[in-house]
Amino acid sequence: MTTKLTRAEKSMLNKSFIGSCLSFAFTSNITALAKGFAISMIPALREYYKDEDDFKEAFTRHQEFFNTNTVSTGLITGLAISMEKKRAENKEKIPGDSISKIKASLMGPLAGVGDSFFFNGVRIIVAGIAIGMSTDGNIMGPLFFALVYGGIVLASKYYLLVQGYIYGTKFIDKAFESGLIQIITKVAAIVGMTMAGVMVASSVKFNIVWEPMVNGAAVSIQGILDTIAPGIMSLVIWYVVFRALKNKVSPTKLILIIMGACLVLSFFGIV
Amino acid sequence: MVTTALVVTLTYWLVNTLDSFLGNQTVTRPIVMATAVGIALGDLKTGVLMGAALESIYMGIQGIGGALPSDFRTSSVIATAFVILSSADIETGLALAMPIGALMATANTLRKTFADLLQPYFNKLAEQGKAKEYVWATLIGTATLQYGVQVIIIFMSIAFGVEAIEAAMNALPVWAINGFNVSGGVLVAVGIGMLSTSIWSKESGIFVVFGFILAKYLGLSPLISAALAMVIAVTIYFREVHMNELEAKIENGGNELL
Repeated sequence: MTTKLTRAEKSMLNKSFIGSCLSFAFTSNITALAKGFAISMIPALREYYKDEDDFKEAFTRHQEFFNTNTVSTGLITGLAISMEKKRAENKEKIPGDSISKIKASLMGPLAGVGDSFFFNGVRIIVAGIAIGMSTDGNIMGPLFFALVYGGIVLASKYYLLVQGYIYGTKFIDKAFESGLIQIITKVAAIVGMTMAGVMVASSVKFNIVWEPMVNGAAVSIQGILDTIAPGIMSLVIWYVVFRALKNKVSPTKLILIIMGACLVLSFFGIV
Repeated sequence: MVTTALVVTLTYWLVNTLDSFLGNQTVTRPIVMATAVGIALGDLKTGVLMGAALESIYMGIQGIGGALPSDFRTSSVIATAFVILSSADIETGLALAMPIGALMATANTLRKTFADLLQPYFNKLAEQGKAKEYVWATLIGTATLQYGVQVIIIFMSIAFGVEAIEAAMNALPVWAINGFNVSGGVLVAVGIGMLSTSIWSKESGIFVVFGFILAKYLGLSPLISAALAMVIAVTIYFREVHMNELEAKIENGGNELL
């Protein structure tokens, strides 16, 4: 499916691609790959949101947690760009949170698919060949790996970025006409929240190592919690944080409180 | 030893920063990383051979007696450096890299802590729409803080030996390092929480529990969980459409229902 992209569109997508290469730059626990994602959105946001407040709103929105396979970032970025484009045309049609919902819904599954195919599939094959080529200390081996695997990853990411954009812009109009957009918004909301739960299960960790002595025997608090439900603390922590954020506690304050609390708890040997 | 240490450290830093700017896990794979160290130390052949061997080991193809150092990036650099500098064999090189690997596990968590501490700054830049400063901050942060701790450890271990490192690490307060470690696991909740608040609605909120159960207790992959959620969501959607139609009928005159 080839569609003619205007020169402006191509330039924007190219700049976005370069930005996406910063996906793994300065990752944090809080937002993971969001910095790179936000940076890759800048060319598009500058293009569509000439009003400074709109730009700020969109740019801030893309600071949210984002974690997926490096190739998959291309697809999600392309889709997000197409959604921002439509949103800029008509803000009520596409509320900001619908873009967040699509991101949240897609990042998990695409991470799984991308990791299995590229990271655990293509990489192993290319590495196997490269190892074979390195037998006599031949530099062709490492070069082969870096250029071929790296090339495949970057080329796939670029392709998905462009396709995501093309498909997104075409599809959104059709979805509005056919009423499909209602289903998609509903599904994205539910799948998005589900994926948030999945991420809480896999990424939020909290282990209580404190074992107070009761009647001469060490009682493992974590053990008791685990009998109720293993890993339940992760969900509890998420809920507390969620409630705080809903009550307009600033993320900055939360970050500092959490860091302080963890240091104190660690000092007293509780975690 | 210091100049050699500097050279090796510089190589490590260069390759890692390059990888961060190119999208990850390509040039930091042992096969490339060890070769880079080999080139830096003037022994390309050993570098390539070490790279190939380390890649096989870390890919699980070739076995090696005993446990592996956990961080393959630093292990590759240190093992290759030791093998080239002291003409040891690969097993010895890896064995020497073992304690470093344990230290690196700590250093790696701290790397993200720097980013966490600076997150408020990035948020402020974003809210003010300062895109250019944001990009620069990311670049500088990556170049300096992302690998700052690892770079120091590598430099010291090659310049002064592993014992020096262990002594230095033992002097650091364990509770502080552990505290930052734990904070990493909890701070993720802030990021996911921010995402949740922006997409939350009364009806969809409970699905966080759904996803949590699927992932934690049923061990389902994200793709399957998403598929399950989608099935349920589509069902709910059509129920709602049906309800809306019923409501409309009721408003237009209840007789139609009888």
